[in-house]
Amino acid sequence: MASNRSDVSVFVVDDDASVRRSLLRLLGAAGFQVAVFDAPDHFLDAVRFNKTDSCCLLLDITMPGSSGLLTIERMRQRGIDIPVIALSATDDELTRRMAKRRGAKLFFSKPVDDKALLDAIEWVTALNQNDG
Amino acid sequence: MQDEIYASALFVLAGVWLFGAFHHGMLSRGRQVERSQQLFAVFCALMAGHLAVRAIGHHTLSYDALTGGWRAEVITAAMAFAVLPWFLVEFTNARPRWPRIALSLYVLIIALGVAGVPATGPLADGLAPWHAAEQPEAPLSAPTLLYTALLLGLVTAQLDGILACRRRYRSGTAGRHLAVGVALAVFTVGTLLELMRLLKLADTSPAFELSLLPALVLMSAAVGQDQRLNWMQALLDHVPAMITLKDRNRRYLLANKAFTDEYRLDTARLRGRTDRQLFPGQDLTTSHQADTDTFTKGDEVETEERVQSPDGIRFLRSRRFPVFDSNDHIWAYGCVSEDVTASRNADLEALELRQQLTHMERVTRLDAISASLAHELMQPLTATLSNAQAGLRLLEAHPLSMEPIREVLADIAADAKRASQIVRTLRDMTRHTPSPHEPDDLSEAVREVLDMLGAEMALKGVVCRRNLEPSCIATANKPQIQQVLLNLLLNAIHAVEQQPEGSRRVDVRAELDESGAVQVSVRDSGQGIPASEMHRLFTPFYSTKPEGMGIGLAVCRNIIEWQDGRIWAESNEPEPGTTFRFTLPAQESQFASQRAEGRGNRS
Repeated sequence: MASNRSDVSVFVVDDDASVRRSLLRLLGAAGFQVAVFDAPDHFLDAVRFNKTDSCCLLLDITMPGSSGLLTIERMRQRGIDIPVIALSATDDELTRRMAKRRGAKLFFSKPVDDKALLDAIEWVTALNQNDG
Repeated sequence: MQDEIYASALFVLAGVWLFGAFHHGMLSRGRQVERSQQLFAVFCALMAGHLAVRAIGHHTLSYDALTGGWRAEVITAAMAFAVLPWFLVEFTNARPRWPRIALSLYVLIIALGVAGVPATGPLADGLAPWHAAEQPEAPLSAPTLLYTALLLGLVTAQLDGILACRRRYRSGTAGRHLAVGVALAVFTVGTLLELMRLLKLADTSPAFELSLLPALVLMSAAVGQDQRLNWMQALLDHVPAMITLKDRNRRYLLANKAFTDEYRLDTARLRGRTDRQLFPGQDLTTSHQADTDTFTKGDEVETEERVQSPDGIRFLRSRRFPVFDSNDHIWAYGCVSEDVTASRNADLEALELRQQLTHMERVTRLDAISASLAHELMQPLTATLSNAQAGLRLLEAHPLSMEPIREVLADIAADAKRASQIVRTLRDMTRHTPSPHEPDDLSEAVREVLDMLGAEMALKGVVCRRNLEPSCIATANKPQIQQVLLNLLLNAIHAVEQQPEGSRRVDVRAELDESGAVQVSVRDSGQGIPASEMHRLFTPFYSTKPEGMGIGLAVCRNIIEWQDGRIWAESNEPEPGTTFRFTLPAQESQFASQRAEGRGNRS
């Protein structure tokens, strides 16, 4: 179990460059190890581990083309079992239900407040530390 | 010598009657005609026989021949007169039948009596006292009393026939009953004269025979008319449209099969009756109004009616027209109705489908727009928020490192621009593309929209009155104005739909107002709009309809105001309903405003 934010890696998959950069800055400023990807495929190609406690995926599930939701399934197929926090600019019942069914641990609608997001990351990675 | 002439005349008369028998016999041969036609042929034949026997009687001089002649004369007359009540019963459809049939049996029994009574003897003397008294040397007594009884029976049948014809004529059926009635009257006068002769009251010997001639001609013509009517009826029965003819008192004169089948009526029962008698308890306002219009205008009237038939609600397109006599007086009017229910239902279905589709389309389009708009806007907002919060954290952690903060602020500014660009694009997308404003006849534009909605209004029992002045030329965007009209009219139809049938009225006017602007108004007879709601009518997302989106009138206002017009609503108080009006500058004032602009530019 990680005891420090710098031990936790957060992967961000979002097709919007500006959103990627802002999340990178935010999570970086909060002390996490951050890696951003502009498409699910790039993330899947880059992942070299199977299971670890100390990382999580922030996944935009409303992306054009290869939808974010499918990414979770493809991850599971490859045996990659890391907690997923779904982010979506579309906040409706269907999207929420789909996210839950596909196995996202949490769902946030965009824009997301930094405090809530950071707490969620700590929660899914079981990081026992308070950001203050 | 006079006897010779008399006998010849009788022969000629017999020939005429024989021709009548032949004519009517031929008419009824192999065709389905009323039985009265055949009975009339038989009657003619027997009368011809009777007259021939009478003529022959004048040529015989022997006593026995004269006696036999008398007998044959009375027997043939009796047989002819026995057929007469049958004919009249068939012809006039008089009820009850049995007294008339009894009358003809009575006449037949007399004929038998004449055949059976001996020429001489006490019985003969007893039965014929008057004849014996006058001509004691010629004991041709027996038939006389019986003949008198026969003639009395005949007069009874004739009077009854006259009354029956009068009833039928009064009940509005064609003139042929009048003709037969008059013929019968002539015949009756002749018969009465013959009776007077028998009773020694006057010597009227040729009157009876002569009275038969006009009677035959009139009757023959009238009965022959029946054959022509049948032929016309056959034609009418094969027309799919419903055809009726009514007299001035709105009593049916005839109806074709399509009509009687539709309403399950009996043709015989229909004649001489009115709509009220035939369709008790039905709302006949529309058809009565149309009938009245036909009479008062003396011209064709076309209507669309909604009627209740045994098969359910039917929609009829009816054309009513007056029928003139030779003096140019209306004596009847015809009505040809076409059942347009099927096409109306198809219209209705298409309409409902269209309405559902447009509504669905609008809802889904709005839904899609708002969803994609939300998604598009959320992205820059997400970035802005995260950037701002990251900036705060950076400032907290490294208060002096300016470069990351500069990047953050640059991104925030870019995302704010992006968000505003999204909103701008959306606004451009939904804004009406400006299209050329052309001088246009607004009356024509209104007429087109009304024509488009004509079927729907008829369907919903809405009476639409239009008053469109010709020269309503305004410089406007015609399709947009028509969209406004469509909206107002659909609202009006919706408003009056709940009113009882007969008070669903929509009046549409297009005229020039006192300032010279073109004003179009749509007035409905609905339940009206409370004064407190009036000012909110044109506000977006305000609707009085549960299923409404509340954008119709808001869009109308936008369209009209973009074109320098004005739109407003007013209550019809004290009458029910609401009137929506809009004005558009007439063509000239448009030029005036252009000139004003030109001055503005120079100054």
